[in-house]
Amino acid sequence: MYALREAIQGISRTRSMSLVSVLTISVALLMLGFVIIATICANGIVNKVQRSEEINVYLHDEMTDGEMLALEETIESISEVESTRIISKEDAAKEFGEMFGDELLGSLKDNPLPRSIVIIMAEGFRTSGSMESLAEKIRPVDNVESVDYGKELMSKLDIFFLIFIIIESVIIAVVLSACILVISNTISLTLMVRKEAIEIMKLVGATDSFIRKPFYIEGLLQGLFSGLLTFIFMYGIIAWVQYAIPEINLYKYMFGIETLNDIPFRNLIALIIPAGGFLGLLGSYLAVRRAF
Amino acid sequence: MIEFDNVSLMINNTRIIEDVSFRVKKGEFVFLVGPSGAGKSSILRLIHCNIFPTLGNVIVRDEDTKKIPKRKIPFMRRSIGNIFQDYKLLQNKTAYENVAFTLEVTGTKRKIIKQKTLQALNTVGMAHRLTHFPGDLSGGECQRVAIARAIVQEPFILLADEPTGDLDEESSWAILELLEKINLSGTAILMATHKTEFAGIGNSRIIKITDGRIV
Repeated sequence: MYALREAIQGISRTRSMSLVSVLTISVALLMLGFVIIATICANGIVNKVQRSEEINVYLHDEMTDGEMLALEETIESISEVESTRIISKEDAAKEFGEMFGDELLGSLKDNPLPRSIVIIMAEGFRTSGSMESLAEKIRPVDNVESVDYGKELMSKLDIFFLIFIIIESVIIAVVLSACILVISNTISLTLMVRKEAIEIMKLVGATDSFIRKPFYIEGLLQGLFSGLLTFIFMYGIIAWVQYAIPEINLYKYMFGIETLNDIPFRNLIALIIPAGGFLGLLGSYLAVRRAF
Repeated sequence: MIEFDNVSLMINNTRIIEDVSFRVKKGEFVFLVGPSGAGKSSILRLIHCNIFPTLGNVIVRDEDTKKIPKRKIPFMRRSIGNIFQDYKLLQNKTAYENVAFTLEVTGTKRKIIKQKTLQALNTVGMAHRLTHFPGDLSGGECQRVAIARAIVQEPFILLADEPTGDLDEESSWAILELLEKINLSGTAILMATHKTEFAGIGNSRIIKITDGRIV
């Protein structure tokens, strides 16, 4: 109780500095929030593209239906594979006709298109490396004509995602460090203001943990308040964007939900509040440890 | 109770105290007399575990200060009262709050805080000034509040570092009378002063110190 009262008094004593601190942290957390949303979006896009990218195993006509089914079963049992499906010669012709018109194939006596097995990789294995490794295993199988996938696109996607993760990590590290530094400086100021009281507390036999506690609580409160403010900002900004451009269902695109009130969205954004609290606590911990 | 055994203290290659030995027994009133810079305050700081001897041993209540674990020092300090020339009162707290603060920060229950604080302020004759801030009090009154703060935890010894340094003669004698009264109730007092005229009151003993040595 004493620690909480002292923490609130501490905020009140350095009112303007605390306000600057809360606003700065809120802006930083807001950036952090949008970086996380951007990551979710990018991850969604990459995943969607990766998911649409399949491995096509083209088969010779000599392969019997039994052999084809056995091969499909073997491929499906591999842990890197999510699912498989068989494209018959008729299905291939139909697909070809939809893309290029029926006239071209119709002029031929026989359907030259091969049967194929389409492989969709499991999540976490939709990379060019995993796809190439699987393709290498299938190519030597008897009566397999060729194994094909969007090798170039997958490689580019891998590089794009890697660069994105690096940039994102740098931004997050900078933003987090800034938050911790701002809180740490504010608490240092409170420590300076309370220098005399701390000296007297030590003189009369207060323990270090007792002296430190109010400062930890002060940092925690500043962080939690900043987190709350950021939550309100983000909620407001996203609602405004949705209102201003109703054609884009932003929520569906980003979170796979219909409205702003959907629970997963609120839960996700609300994580910013404890994150703020944690940063506040860490900042004050560093300031206090530096001081005594 | 307090024992200095051949204590020497060096700070930044400067000799502050050299080969000092003395004892303060239970309930004694001892004056540590010497000019400014003689090492009086350092002796008090050694007892309070703010600093530790370079050579020799400082024994406080049968414990060698160098061997007391760091986490136990705050608890040891609760049994030692301190007063200073500049009072060290918190300007934004009233006389009552300044005294109560000592008990608050050492985790005493609220009901006991009130009882003990009023008792300590009554002992020093400041019960009528509870709600006054240090800025509204005279130097002598501030020192009385500081003494109340020092005795509120019922210490076995009171370390007084030039407590009359900022006071006029009349107030100084009043403070000395108050310290004598506290001493008679059983609390030992070790008072550092450069004013030789104050030393030797009642049953007190004098230790003279010059240039870090007892003479």
